[in-house]
Amino acid sequence: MTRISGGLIDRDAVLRFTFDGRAMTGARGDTLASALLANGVQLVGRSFKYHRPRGIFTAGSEEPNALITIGTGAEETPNTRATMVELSDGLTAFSQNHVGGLSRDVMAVNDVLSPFLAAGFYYKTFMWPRAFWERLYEPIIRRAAGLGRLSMEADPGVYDEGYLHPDVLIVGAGGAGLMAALICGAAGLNVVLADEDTRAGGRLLAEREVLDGAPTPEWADTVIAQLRQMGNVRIMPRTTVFGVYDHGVFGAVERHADGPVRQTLWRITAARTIVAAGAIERHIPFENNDRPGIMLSGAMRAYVNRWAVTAQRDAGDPIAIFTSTDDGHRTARDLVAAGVPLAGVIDTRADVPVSPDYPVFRGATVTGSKGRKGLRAIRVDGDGPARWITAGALGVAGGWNPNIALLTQRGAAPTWSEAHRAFLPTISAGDAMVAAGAARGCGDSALAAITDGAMIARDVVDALGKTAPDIPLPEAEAVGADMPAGDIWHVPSKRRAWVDFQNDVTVKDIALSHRENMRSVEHLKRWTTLGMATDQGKTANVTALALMAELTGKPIPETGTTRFRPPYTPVSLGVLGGGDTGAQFRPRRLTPTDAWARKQGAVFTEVGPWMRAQYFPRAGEDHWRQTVDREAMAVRSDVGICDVSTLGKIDVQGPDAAVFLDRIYAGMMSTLAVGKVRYGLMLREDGFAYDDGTCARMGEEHFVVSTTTAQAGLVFQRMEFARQCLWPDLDASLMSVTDAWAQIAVAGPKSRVLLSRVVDDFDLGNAAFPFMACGSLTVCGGLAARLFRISFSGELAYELAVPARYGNAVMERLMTLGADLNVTPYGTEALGVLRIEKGHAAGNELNGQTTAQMLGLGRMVSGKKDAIGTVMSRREGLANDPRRLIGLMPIEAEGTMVAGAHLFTPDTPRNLEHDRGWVTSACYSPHMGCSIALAYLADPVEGEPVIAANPIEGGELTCRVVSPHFVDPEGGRLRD
Amino acid sequence: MTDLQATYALGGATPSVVNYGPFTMAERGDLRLMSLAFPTGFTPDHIAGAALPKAGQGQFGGAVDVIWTGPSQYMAMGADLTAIDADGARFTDQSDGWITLDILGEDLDALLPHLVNLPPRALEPGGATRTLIGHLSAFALRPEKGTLRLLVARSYGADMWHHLSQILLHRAKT
Repeated sequence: MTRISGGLIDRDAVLRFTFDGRAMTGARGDTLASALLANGVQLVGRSFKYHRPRGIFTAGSEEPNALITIGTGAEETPNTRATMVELSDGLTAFSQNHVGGLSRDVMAVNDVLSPFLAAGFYYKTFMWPRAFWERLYEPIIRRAAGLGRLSMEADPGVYDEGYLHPDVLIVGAGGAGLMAALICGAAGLNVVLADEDTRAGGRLLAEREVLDGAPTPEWADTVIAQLRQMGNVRIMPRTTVFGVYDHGVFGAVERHADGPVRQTLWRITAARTIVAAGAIERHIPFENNDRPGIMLSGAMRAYVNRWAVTAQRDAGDPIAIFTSTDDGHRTARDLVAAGVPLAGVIDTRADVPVSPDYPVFRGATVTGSKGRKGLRAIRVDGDGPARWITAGALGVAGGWNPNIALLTQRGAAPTWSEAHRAFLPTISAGDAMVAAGAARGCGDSALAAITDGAMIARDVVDALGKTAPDIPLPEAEAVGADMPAGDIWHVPSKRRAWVDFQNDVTVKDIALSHRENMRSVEHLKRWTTLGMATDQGKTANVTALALMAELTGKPIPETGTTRFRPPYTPVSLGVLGGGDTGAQFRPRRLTPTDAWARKQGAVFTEVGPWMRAQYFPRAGEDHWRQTVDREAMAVRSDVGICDVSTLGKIDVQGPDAAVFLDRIYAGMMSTLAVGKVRYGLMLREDGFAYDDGTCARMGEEHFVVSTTTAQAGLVFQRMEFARQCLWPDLDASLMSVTDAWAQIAVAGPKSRVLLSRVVDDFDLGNAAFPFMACGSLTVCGGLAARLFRISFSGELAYELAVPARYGNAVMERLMTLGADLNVTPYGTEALGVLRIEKGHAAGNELNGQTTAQMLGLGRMVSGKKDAIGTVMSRREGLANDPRRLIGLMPIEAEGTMVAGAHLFTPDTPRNLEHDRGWVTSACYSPHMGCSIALAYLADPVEGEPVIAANPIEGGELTCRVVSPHFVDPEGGRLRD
Repeated sequence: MTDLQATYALGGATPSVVNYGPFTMAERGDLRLMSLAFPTGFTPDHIAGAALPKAGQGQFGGAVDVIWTGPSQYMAMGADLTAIDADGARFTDQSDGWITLDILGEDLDALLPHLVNLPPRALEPGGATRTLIGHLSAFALRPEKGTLRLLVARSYGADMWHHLSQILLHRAKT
């Protein structure tokens, strides 16, 4: 145990947890990392490539090493950072990335093989033989790759989402963020203050400074209490703002400590954002610098001051600090104050003063380390002869990099500051997102960060038209100026020194990348995988840039910059989905007769978002084909009913409605008589057909346009665009009424008889209501309805529209009144068979590459007026397209046509050059007693044989070209 | 008068209603909806006694509620819309085009961030705007402080009901 006195933990609240099955205890306020350290655990995982023993390296979200699996079974979550896991009673944690035990990982053999596993080794190694790529190399690489394992069970966690629209979003509740929130909140602005930590305060919780005569954590608590009083400041701990997106939208994940919801995904839109995300310390690579027990100096200080724990395995082991800045001495002073034995501070600067409290090795470096599973000794070179000194832990202080991740996610390149030896965010006047405190290099002390936070907040308040209140800064002891940092980025060595711990990238890898001419930052990154792990190289990128600059002899800013992408830290897919899983994975639309169809035992199918009845099986039918054949034949012989409400329905009203539709449809609509329906084809601007349907004229200035199910939304959108933007001078109004009406197809020779039993005093006779008639009427004793005499099956048919709430009831009534007529409900499958038999085009035929000519509807493109796509449809490539919609039947009756098959003249090669077309739709036709198909074929000749070749499954079928109208080509039935 | 039995958007013979702690969600089967579109630039001041609302607003509390739905377009809603008389308007009965859901509760302001991606001022009492909820296009109305009214395409009713139920369930427990 290395727990010491002090800290911000509640020792009375003892929490039990296990690590790799070993029972341990911690205290409320611990992270998993601090609790592991308190239990003397240094070795917590294995590295990605070489399976090197690794320990806790940081105290925050930048942690590269301590990746832990939390929970078991369905609750199992891999790749959590021990530094960010809030300790809870009963927590189970497991180390990752080893075969066998953590201490005896057999994959550690990779470390022995490291000379063969240098940067880019997989690009160079797995080249030959080619046959091995897929069957040998890929499975091996896939098995070895990746960190952590998924349980493959469904996540039982509950996730939700939310939206916030504050005036000011403040990211980070450290000194700068708290002060900014205080000023913005007091100015009356609505503020969201988000911090990824469980407790507000940031580095104020990790330091021993004094503000207004009290320790910094107390000052933070006081400010939080003031903010809570305001009512206009939303304080969000455990909330990581992970991404900046277009239009100033920020993504954030809030982790809930209790309650039914595990995590909430927030989309935050703010007028202004202050990024006060602090800074991330960098290390100084030296030989074997990755042993457990070696960590960042600032993290070591945080563990001592906040969590009352030291980093060595045994409390008696001395700790050493390796530094190039004064910050390392700050850690040393805090360790001494906490009574921790100190082996000394190894400072790269020769002119640094000695300390009365601990040994200082001036102008020295650490050049090696010992200890297989935990640090035992370090080799110090300089300020005397090279020697090994005993150390149970080592803190490394190489300077601080402002945390610019969010500030660069939208592409802004940061600016190199030689004074800070770091990249600073590039902020321009008027930017909606600004930085404050250590995130822009103003974090040398608590007071410095708070002062900067106040200044930035006043600018923001001013920009938002408010008046900043006069809030005094806290009083703090003056901090002496730091000595300049030492000019060192790494300690040269012939052996490996790690730069990126998570992806096992060493200084030698970067040198190799340079030798192999992978010198741009982008190439370096991809050749070595530096910065491409889950931590995005937070502790590595700037150091790697500096090393490349050293190798190329160029200054750092000329070598490249470092930018980040969302997410700042890993985000679970569960929370991104917001709980929409299973049946709720995407929205579903139900038809107005859904309840009735379910009662009939219908089998449903997805048609876009719609759930439609596919067929209605009856007792004794054990194959869907039996059901579909029966349904289709019932329509041909008697009468069938089918819900077609999913077709788009658009009311077009106004004195210019007819002119408007003339410009929308390829055909003429203004000449349509009231009470009549006309088939219509819509073209895209490029002249291709994109939707078809009917247009019914209900009144002089009132039309009802029907569209396909798939394109209903698109057609309405395009019509609205045309109305609002292309022809605002036309007085026409559009209204989607797709959902308002339940539309039921009543088809078959007995459809008129059946309908006559529901209509109220309405003449359905051929003279009064002929083919392509429409009208308003009432049915079933006064229910307002619309009736259209249109046919998709080739039979005498109608479509009856009633208010959607009566869809189920009308279906039931039709079934009851049509029992003696053998009325049969049919689904989308039979609908498809019937329309193929009749030769009607549907989505398969209107695939975005179809012209009116191909559909045999070339004459429908009116030459008497202009419409969208008319002119372009006449261009040479389209007007002369030789392909036409045809019917196909197999020569041998038992042959099965397959949609997607390509068509060839017999005895020609099966290649693109000789490809004459393809089968668009195919089905078994109970009417024809064989398989039939619709197809596009170039220069078709009726009766000619063609070969339908199945390009996916293989196999060929010889077919005969026939009319696409397999049923009643003269159209007598539908006019009967 | 037809003897046919209506089915409400959620599949019941009566409108659905459910309670989650302090919140109630109710399907409004009694409201009729009528879209009104006017020629561009020609809009009367009043419809059925209700002053026409501005963009993002509604007029609530009269015999007929009216919300702005687009340039020169409005939606009237009420138990009886026979009083509507507007010269030059094109009427489209939308009573069956939308499901209307009322969410009732005293602390709706705390619930709103989990329901709609709108700044709070957009849904202060009197607000009415079109937005996305659970990937679906919807009208969000605030007739009064204790009522949030949502209109969603009828066919998506069951999906929206589930989506809202989950939110209310979680918020009621939180």
